Amino acid sequence: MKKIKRYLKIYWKLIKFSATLETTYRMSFLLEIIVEVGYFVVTVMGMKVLFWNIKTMAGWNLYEIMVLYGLNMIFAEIVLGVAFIFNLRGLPEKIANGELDLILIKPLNSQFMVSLWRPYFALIPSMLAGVIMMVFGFKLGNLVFNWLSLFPFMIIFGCGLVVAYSVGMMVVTLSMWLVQATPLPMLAQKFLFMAKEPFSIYGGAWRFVFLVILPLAFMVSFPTQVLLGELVWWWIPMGLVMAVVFLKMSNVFWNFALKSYSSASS
Amino acid sequence: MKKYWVFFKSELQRSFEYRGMLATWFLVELMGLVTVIFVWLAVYRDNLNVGGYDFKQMIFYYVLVPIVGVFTNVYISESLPKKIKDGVISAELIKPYNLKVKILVGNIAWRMVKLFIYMPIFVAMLAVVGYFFGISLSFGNAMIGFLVCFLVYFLHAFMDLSISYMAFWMDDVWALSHLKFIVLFMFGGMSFPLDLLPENLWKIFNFLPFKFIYFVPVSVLRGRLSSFEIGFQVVQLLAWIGFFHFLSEILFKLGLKKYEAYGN
Repeated sequence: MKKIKRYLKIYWKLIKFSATLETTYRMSFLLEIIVEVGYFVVTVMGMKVLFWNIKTMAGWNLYEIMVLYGLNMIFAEIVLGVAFIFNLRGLPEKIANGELDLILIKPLNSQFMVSLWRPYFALIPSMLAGVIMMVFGFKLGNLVFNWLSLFPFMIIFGCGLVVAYSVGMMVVTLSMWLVQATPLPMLAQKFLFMAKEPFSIYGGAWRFVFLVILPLAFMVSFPTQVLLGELVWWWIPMGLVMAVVFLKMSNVFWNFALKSYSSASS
Repeated sequence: MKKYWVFFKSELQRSFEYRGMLATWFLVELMGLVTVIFVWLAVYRDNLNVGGYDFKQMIFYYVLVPIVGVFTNVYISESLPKKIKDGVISAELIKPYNLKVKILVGNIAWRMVKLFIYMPIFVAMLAVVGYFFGISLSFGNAMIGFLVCFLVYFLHAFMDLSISYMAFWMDDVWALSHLKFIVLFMFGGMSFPLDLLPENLWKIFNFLPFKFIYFVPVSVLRGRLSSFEIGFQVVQLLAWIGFFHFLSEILFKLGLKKYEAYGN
C-alpha cells in the first residue's frame, strides 16, 4: 500500500512536470490539438460513409456505433497518452543507444519508468470529442442511458485499459532482442486499435482469440455494451482476472527481457 | 548522373540491412488489412451490395491498397525536417549534388528493397484472392497501374518535400506530417473507396490531388477506368506533379534564405 502511495505521488509530480513542458511550446501544442481534431473528423467521416450505404453492422446501428467509436476515442487517447507517445514509442531507441542504463540505475521500478514516465496532454481534446460523440449517439438514437450502468462500466473499462497497457508493454518489450525495433510500438498500437470494432464482428474461433488470448472485447466493445444496458454478469469477474493476469505477465516478461539486455552505450 | 547512381547503390545496400524492420512494418500494415476484412465480413453478412461493391470486389480493393502503398507512400517528412532543424543539412548543401535528386534517388532504392521483400507476400495475397473469389489482376491493368503508381510517387514525394521544407520556418513539422497522413487516410482512398461517397462530396474529393495516392491507382489496377478516363487522370496527375514540384522549389529557395545553421 505504501509503495502504491509513493508511486502515485511520483506520478502526480510527473503529470505536473509534463503539463508545464507541453504548454511551454504553445505553437506545437496547438498543432498537436489540430491533428487530434483531424483524427476525430476522420473517425466520424469513416463511420458516416459506411452508414450512408448500410443500415446495420453486426447488429449495431449508426447511433450505437457512434457510442462505440466515441468510447474508443477515449480509450485510445488514454492508452496512447499515458503509455505510448512519450514512453513506449521511444523504448526501442533507448535500448539501441544504451539510454536504458540510466533508467535501470535509478531506485524506481524500471517498467514504470519506461512505460509511464511522461504523459501526453494534447490528446485531451480528442477525449472530449469522444465524449461528445457518445452523447450525440445516445441523444440522436434515443438510446436509454442508465446511471447504474456506470459502476460496472468503470470496472470493465478499467480492466480493458490495464489489459491494453500490458499487451502494448509486452509487444514493445520484444525490442530487447531485435536490432531495428522501431516499428514494434506501431505494431502494438495496431493490435490495440483492432479493439475499436464491435466484438460481434468476429465469428467462430476468432471470438475465443479476442476474448481470451488477446482480450480486445474488454477494451471497448464490452464497456460500450454495458453503457447500452447489455451487461452480461461474467464480464466483470473475467475482466478482473484478465487485467491481473496480463499485468503480471507484462511484468514477468519485462524482467525476463532485462536479463537479456546488454548495454549498447560506450 | 554517375554520382546519383552511387547514392542509389549505397541506399540499396543500407536498406537491405534493415530487412527485419521492413518485415515488421509489413506486419503493421497487414494488421490494418485484417481488421478491415473482419469489418467488411460483418457488413456483408447483412448486405449483399455496398455502394456498388460486392464482397469480392471490396476485399480486392483492400488487398490492392497496401500493394499500391509500397509504390506511393513517401516518408521524407519524417526525417528531413529534423535534419533542417538540427543544421545537419548544412553539410549536404555545400556538396556538389542536388539535394532533392539525392533524396528521390535514395527513396527509390529503399522502395525497391521494400518491394523485393514484400513481393512474395503480395503474390500470395493475390493468389489467395484469386483462388477464393476468382478475381485476378490482368497483366495489362497491372502494367498501366504500376506506371501510374510510378508517377504518383513523384506527386507524393514533392508534396512531402514541401511539408519538410516548412521546417525552415517551424520548430516541428511533426503535426503537419501527421495531418498529411490523416488527409491521405480519408481523401486518398486508404480507409474506404472514394466512390462510396455521396455524389456532391465525391465531386469535391475528385478535384483534390489526394485521390491519386491510393484510389486512382487501385481503380486502374481493378480495371474500373476506361482508356479515356485513365488518360484524363494522368493529365490531372501530371498537372499536380508540376504544381507540387514548383511549390517545393519555391519553399526550398525561400527557406534557404531564412536558414541559419547552428549545427557544427
